[in-house]
Amino acid sequence: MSIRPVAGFLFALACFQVAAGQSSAPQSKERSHVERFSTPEVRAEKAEAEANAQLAANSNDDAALNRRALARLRLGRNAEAFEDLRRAVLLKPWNSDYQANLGYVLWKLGKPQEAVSAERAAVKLDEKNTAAHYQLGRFLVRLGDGKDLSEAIAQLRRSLELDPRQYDVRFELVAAYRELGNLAEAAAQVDVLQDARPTDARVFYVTGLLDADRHDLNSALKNFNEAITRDPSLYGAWQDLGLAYGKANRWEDAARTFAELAQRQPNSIEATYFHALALYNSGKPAEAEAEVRRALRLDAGAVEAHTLLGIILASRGNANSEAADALSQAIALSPNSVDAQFYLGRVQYAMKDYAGSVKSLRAAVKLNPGHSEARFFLGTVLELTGDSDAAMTEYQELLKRDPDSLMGQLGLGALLVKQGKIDEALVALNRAVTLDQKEFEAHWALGRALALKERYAEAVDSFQKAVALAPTRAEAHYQLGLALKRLGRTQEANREFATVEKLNTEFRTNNSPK
Amino acid sequence: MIRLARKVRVFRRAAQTCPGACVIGLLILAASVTPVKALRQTIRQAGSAQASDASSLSPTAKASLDAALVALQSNALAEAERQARAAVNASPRSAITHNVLGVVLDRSGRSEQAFGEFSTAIKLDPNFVSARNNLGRMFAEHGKTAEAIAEFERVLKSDPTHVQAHYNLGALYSDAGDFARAAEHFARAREADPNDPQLALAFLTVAYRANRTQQADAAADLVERASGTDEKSLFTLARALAESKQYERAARLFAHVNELMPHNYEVLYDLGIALYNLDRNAEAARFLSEAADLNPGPPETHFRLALIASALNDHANSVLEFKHAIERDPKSANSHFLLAREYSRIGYWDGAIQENTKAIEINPKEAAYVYARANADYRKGEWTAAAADFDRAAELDPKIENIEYLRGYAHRAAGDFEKAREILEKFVATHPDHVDALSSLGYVAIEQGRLDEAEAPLKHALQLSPDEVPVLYDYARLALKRREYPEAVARLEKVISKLPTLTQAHYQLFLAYSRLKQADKAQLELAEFKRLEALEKQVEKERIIDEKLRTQQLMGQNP
Repeated sequence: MSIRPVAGFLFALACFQVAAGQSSAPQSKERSHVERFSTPEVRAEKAEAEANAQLAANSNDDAALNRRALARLRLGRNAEAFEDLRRAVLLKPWNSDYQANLGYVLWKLGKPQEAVSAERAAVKLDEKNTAAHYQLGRFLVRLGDGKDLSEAIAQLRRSLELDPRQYDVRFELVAAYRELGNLAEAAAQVDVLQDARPTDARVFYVTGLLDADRHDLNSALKNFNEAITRDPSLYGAWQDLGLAYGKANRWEDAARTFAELAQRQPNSIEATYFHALALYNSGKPAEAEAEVRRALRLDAGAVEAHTLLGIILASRGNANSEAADALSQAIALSPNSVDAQFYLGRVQYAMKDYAGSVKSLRAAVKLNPGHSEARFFLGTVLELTGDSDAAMTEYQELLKRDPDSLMGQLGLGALLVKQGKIDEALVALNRAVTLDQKEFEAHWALGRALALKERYAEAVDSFQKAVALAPTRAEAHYQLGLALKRLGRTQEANREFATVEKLNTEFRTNNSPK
Repeated sequence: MIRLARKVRVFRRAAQTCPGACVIGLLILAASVTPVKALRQTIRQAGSAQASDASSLSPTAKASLDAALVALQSNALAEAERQARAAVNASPRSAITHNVLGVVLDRSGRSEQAFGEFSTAIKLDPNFVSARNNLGRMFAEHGKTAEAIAEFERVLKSDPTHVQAHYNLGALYSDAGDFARAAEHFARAREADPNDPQLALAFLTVAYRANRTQQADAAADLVERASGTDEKSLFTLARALAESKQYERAARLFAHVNELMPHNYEVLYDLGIALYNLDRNAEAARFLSEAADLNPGPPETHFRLALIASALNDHANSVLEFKHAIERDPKSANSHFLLAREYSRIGYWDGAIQENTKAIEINPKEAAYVYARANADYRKGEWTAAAADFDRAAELDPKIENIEYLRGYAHRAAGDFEKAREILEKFVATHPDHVDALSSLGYVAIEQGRLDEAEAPLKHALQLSPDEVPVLYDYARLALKRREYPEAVARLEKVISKLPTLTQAHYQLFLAYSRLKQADKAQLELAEFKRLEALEKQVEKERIIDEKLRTQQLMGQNP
């Protein structure tokens, strides 16, 4: 999960800027209240009607075509707007404004490269075209190509030089500098915005984004909360607030935030997915399952939602088959989904489909070689398939990447025990318990190794730590009992065997505490 | 923190187009507005109550009384009085004749004489409910509410179903804000005629406030059905609903009236206000702007449009409309104050200070205005003025949240460290865990060279909030001042890890490394300091340009 740059709302604002910035001339006389307070849509309808009348008189009136295009853009009729601008450009190919507006409509029509070309052409025609510089910069930021960021910043800065009052340009600059990791420049822009727009919700939002970049989650949470209080329709801030809560491990707050966002945007797949994720992480799997299924109803092809559904179903313990199906669907949709591959591997392991599990886990490790959990699982499953050498390679790789990897030391130690290399195993397992004294498996495996070396007193110590960490693990009690017996502590040993019997009975009768 | 109430209900009472706006008054006057019918009813009621009195009238008195009523019906008040007096002369012991004369005198505007006649009627027949009702009504009209209520209660003792007495009591209790009792009396009044829309209207206005929602809704249904397409009746109902905060239904009815009677200022205004109260700001703006174009006179239309524009972040229109409101009502402190708030929202601090000053001139005792100016002073960097205003705001309203801390902070910013210390120490004594106050106290101690005293508040602040950058920074400065350079370096490195763009921290670190003779590191920090300082200067330049442009825009252009 990552905190995303400012997105949608700037886009909408830009649209307004284009339409307003180029269609209105300075007026000395105060306009009527109705004019000033009419919605942009009403103004656009009026502008379109006026342009229609002008075009009825002269179908080659390029200015009217341009005005009508802007009106139609505001009304969401992008294809018609494009047609008008195309004609305007044909009539006056040297007009920079028409080119710039054509670029904007191309962007809206999902033709980013053509949009960029049009804006470049507009800048070439008129180096002082503020909107063209702005839009070119904005598009380059959004296209996300790192090598274009410097140019994007230069364009945005030029636009600002030409008209310093364009606060939206500063928001874009913040996004661009954040992408570049230049937090000082981003903060400088936020400073100006804080001064010029001290109560603007967006300013609190971008301040929060910078806080999050600096890993100052408390300040980020404060600013995101302030942003949504001031403007509850700032959906990006809601989402980043939820994500920040998640990062701070405050999943209940995250769930509450995403619940609100999902209510405000009932058809948003992102809001629904994050709500489901937060619910799951806050220990509400049933609600999470219902919500993630709703996400899939909104978008049956949502990879993350399929993955999450698979994870939730797998955690249920009685729906592995459906879980595998959900995760397989996620992989079919996006074979590069590390999470889907990893969790599918785990589910296949639980279903004893070791070959399938190895395949999935290998895919996960290939996609993300640093995914230590996936590699550890891969080693474990390879051991189960009898391929100890391959398993050993994985554990060694874990340790190569991080000598302090608990999973690496544990996997290696346990495998060495199996291979009878007890002295080497003891080194690895002792390291493992040092790395995490609360890890049952490490104490348990160390106890086994010590028992095999007939160092029963130390083995008892390890097994006692293991059963303290996991009192319901019958095998640990059993091994503890055996070690105690070897030491002649029969009474204590018998108590452990009785515990084993009790746990086994409970397991058979399904009475074990949940 | 002082906050403005988000919604200030401003419902104009406009009698010329709103017969229902004065429902209560009208109904109290019912007897005199429809005299003939009412009096015939009164006489009938009285007759039935005191048959002997009616039958004891002489034929001459009866004839005069009838003639008086006919004259009253045609509003020939002099003739009505002549005939009524003739009736009194013919039957001076008749309560009815005195009552009728009282009504005629009341209609002629001779209240005192009318009082006398009604009192005489009651003396002659203490159970004569119509006379008591008329007397009660007159008490009510003269603001003698307790006496009026007593009279109407006496009427009800004699006749527990007396519609007008119940009605009038309902109106009086409603005026007194006792909506439960008012609703009860109106409900009793309605028992006589449950389908009477006038009674239903009176009932619903209080029933909503008495939480008798279901019955109120039923009454509103009845009134709406009875109103049909009569725009005045619908408008009256809509206003009653709006006054009862039933904005959804009120808006629907106002919209219907607007269709029936378009381009009417009152209708547009009330429709806009109802929508505003429903948070449907864009729609509200549509109707209010038409109202303002039709009739630009009333300041409240502009005031409301300004609030809506502000809520929609349309600062230019908000500023303009507050200005319009102020042009029309320059003495409205609230308009100046809200214009100042709008200026603050767009960072135009000079404007905010100026408008808050005007609000303070109009109402010097309002803490909110002084407090707002203090904030604007502060943001503008006018520390001394800010400190003075925070002091004054604290005097006017000591309950403003954290006001003492703000005073201390402003005095600190103004460089008046001794005053700041005095205020902050007192504040911390009652707020021992206030991180910002502790931080400021530490800062002041450092600035005053009381280095040992700075340690405790800063340490305590860091225990409470270990990641607070300003505190960490001052804590680092403290080490530097004490010449504990390795400690200062460690603390400053921590500050920079949390906020790498804190220019001054790099400078302090440069100093610390220099003292430690670590030239390379010192130079690196100095270079970073210079880079960030240049950036700050650039920002400052842009800020000045920006403020200049904003000011020009606000002062010289229309949106």
